[in-house]
Amino acid sequence: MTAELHWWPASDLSQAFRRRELSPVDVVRHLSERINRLNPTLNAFISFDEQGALDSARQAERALLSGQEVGPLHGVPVAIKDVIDVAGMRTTCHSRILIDNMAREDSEVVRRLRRAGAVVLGKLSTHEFATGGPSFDLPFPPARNPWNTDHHPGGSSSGAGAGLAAGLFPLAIGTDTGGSVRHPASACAAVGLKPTYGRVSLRGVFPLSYSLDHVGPLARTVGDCALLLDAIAGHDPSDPTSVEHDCKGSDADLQRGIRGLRIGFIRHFHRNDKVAHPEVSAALEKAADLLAAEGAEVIEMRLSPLQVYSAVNSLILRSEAWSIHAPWLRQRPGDYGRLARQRLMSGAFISAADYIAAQRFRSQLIHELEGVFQGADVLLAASSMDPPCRIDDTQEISRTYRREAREPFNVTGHPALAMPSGALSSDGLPLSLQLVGRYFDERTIFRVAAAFERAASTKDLRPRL
Amino acid sequence: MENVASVGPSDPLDPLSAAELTERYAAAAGLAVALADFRGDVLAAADLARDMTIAIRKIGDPALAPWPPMRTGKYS
Repeated sequence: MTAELHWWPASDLSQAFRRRELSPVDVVRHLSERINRLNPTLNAFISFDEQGALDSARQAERALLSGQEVGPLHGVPVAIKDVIDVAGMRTTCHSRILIDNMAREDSEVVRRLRRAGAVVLGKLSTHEFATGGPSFDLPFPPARNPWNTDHHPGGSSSGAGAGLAAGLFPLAIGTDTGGSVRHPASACAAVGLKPTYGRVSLRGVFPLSYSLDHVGPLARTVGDCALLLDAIAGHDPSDPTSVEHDCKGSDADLQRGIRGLRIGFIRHFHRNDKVAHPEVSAALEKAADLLAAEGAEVIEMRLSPLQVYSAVNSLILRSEAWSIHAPWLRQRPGDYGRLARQRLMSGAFISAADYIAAQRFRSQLIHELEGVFQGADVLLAASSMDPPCRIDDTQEISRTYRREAREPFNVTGHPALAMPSGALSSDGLPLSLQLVGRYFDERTIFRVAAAFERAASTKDLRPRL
Repeated sequence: MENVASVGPSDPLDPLSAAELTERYAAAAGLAVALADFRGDVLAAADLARDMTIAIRKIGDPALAPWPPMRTGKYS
């Protein structure tokens, strides 16, 4: 059993630690060996704090042995995207601009993880400032997809997706401004949630776009994703975007089944707006059938075309990002990689009037989505329209990266989860789907996701390494 | 100065004058170093902005959308 420790879900690890059947130190040692062996190929970690993790694991073990009351993630390893502050470690944002940026304090999300007992392993690869990638002109190489290392793992929380799929850790924290938690989850057959806007604190997270940024959990199983959300969610009075809303118990309905739930299928996103690869389309249809077979009522529903949501997301994102990066872009443009430099400078050419127009359209789109939820409990939609392509094929990266249906829910702030559809492409790469819920109703998303996970056996999807 | 992003594909400006306009706008935005060292990236950024602006203006009339400072009551 120990040989397979790297595939254990966090919930099983936690229970085994509590029963003293397993030592957190042994788990960290096991994962360290795996990280040291596989990371040179996968580049999931920018910095792996092996000694710090071992020290934390020893501390966790002492607490268990002394019979102390422990948190829900006690002794469980977790890895953090490198735009999120971990005290005593650099937050580089995968960029030369912040190459020596040492974090003095934990971000709120890391503070909550430590409070829950988690062991922080280190900092994970991202696209530069969560936007410019995958790139080969940065101080660290881009993460690669464990399902095929010639292919990209999605982004921008690339290291999170790659590391989960490779069994380097059971839990990870990413950020999502236009889909950056859900994209790597989709590309690597992981489960990634963008929570409701305001549910997880953004304090201590380097911003990309103030009104679109979200922090979110990634895991290999739906249950672990719910467990991790509950550990990091909650009101933070020091974060002006944080919402006071009590919503623990994300995992309360995981075993409940979905009989009688209404699932709105947004088929036109992948059938008309951005026509999906046939294998993606077929997997989505199969998923809808499977959900219906589980007892849900699947109803086709319509929203505005994806292009409208994308236009609003892009313009707001680029305008807000320029307001953050303008000083560095003026003084140190050469310290950015080419992709980030181009994308971040674009905000300099957008007028305030167009930004305001985008925000007004955003209000309309929120209203539209809220209306749809009067007739559905959860929405089913595509996540990526294509399987992940080769990481060195810049044309295909450029073509396929924007062919997705994740941005709408950054625009509106609704919670959205990406997970494996259960199918692989003919090239053996993961295909995915997306589930979207009402504000603060992540519990129902997890309920549907768990039912699908069981029905499609998605837990067992693992790459050959 | 008119925002360069408002120069749509059907404008009668030739590519050179569009590039010149972009450069003048970039200089005004403080991007002189980027212009000197990464002129191609500055022009590509302006193209991205132009595409985004065209896309947002295609959607419709933003005045039809609610905006809290200008309208009270429920969205309709």
